[in-house]
Amino acid sequence: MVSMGKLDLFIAGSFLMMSLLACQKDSSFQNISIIGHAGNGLDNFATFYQDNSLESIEMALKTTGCDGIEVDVQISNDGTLWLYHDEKLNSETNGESCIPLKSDKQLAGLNYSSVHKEKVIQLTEIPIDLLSGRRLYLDLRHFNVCNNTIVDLDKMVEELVEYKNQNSSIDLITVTSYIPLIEKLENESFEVFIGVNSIEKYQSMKSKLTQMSGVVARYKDFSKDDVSLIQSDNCKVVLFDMRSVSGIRKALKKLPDAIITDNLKSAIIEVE
Amino acid sequence: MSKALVVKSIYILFIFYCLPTCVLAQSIEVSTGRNRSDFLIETGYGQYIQQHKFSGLVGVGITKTFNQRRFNPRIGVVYGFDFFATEKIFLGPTLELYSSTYLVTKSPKSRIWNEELLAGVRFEYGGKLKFGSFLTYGFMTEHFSENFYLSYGFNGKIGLIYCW
Repeated sequence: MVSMGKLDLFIAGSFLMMSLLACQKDSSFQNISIIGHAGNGLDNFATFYQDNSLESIEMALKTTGCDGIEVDVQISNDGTLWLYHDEKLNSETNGESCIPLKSDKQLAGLNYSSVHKEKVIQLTEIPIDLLSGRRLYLDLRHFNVCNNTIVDLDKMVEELVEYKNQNSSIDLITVTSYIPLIEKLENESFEVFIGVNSIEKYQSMKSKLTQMSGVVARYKDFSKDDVSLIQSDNCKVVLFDMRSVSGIRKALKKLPDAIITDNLKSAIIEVE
Repeated sequence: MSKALVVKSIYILFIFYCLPTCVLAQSIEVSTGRNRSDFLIETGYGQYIQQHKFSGLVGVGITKTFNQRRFNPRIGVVYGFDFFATEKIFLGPTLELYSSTYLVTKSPKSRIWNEELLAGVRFEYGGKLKFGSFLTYGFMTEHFSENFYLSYGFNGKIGLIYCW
């Protein structure tokens, strides 16, 4: 029988220690909120349903560990708020043109060109009971690419105010980078997070605005130091655009306040 | 078409499809691939009965099990039919049924279950040691707590099969 030498014991012990340390997850991640991108994820083939659809939103909100969802909001020609990500309808649905040029009746008849043919839905169709205790991020689209115009911002804000008043229990955050819209939202006491794509853009927006409660950015565009710099300004940081486990880990290591992820369940596992 | 020709056609089809041709009766296999939710590594035992093959498989999801330390086992049964009935080549339709599970949160405990019912093509080539590839598409379910979802699923695998 071969006896174990001291060196062998040291090596075996080191491996055991390394294994145990590797199994310990960073407890600081537990304070980071996990938000489902466009419901249960966007552009991720593992996601069962189309982004911004009722099915995708419900699936995300029923998942234990999901702290909220982000959805993309556009205003129709009738002044109603609809959930849709792309600029043009033909890229994802059986419709054509853009949401701001369509009536509610036309939009109500649209289906996504996906396997499940989900319906395009209005903001008001999100089940309020599932949002209890969770956050709802509204990514507001202010530009109509079909006729290169800005949508009716007053009407958009008016609709948002009505939605907020009817659903006062919802923790609502609006997201935009368009200054006239930011000002209108702040006048109505909305919490506004600014979409930025670099630390320079953040500094520029900071100089133009009286207050900034949060920013939303791609995780690759900001370093950990950038995140901590913004947080030192008493401004929250939300990172998005991560699908793989390694992407989620890279984003979490920057210690943002929240991540908007396309791989919800993997993100929940990582923060637990 | 005459009655005799019909009888002859049926007889030829019977000879072509139903005669026992595979002298290798049992197999073990290892394979790796991808389904809708993860990369996979699997091992299994198979039994050839004439042109039919029945297999039982056990495996794990690689990302969840090894990268995220969430044990993600998958078990499955597979049926394959060999159209060509040659010793070297097994090619034909296949039907697969899988079940897999993993924990999303430990506290509170939230476990997700996936089932897959898939149909597609199975190809094996070689002698005692065969190369295999499988491509299937079909239904996939996901359920947790009282929630049940149905969507499409797929499974693509390559592997090595040892027969005896």
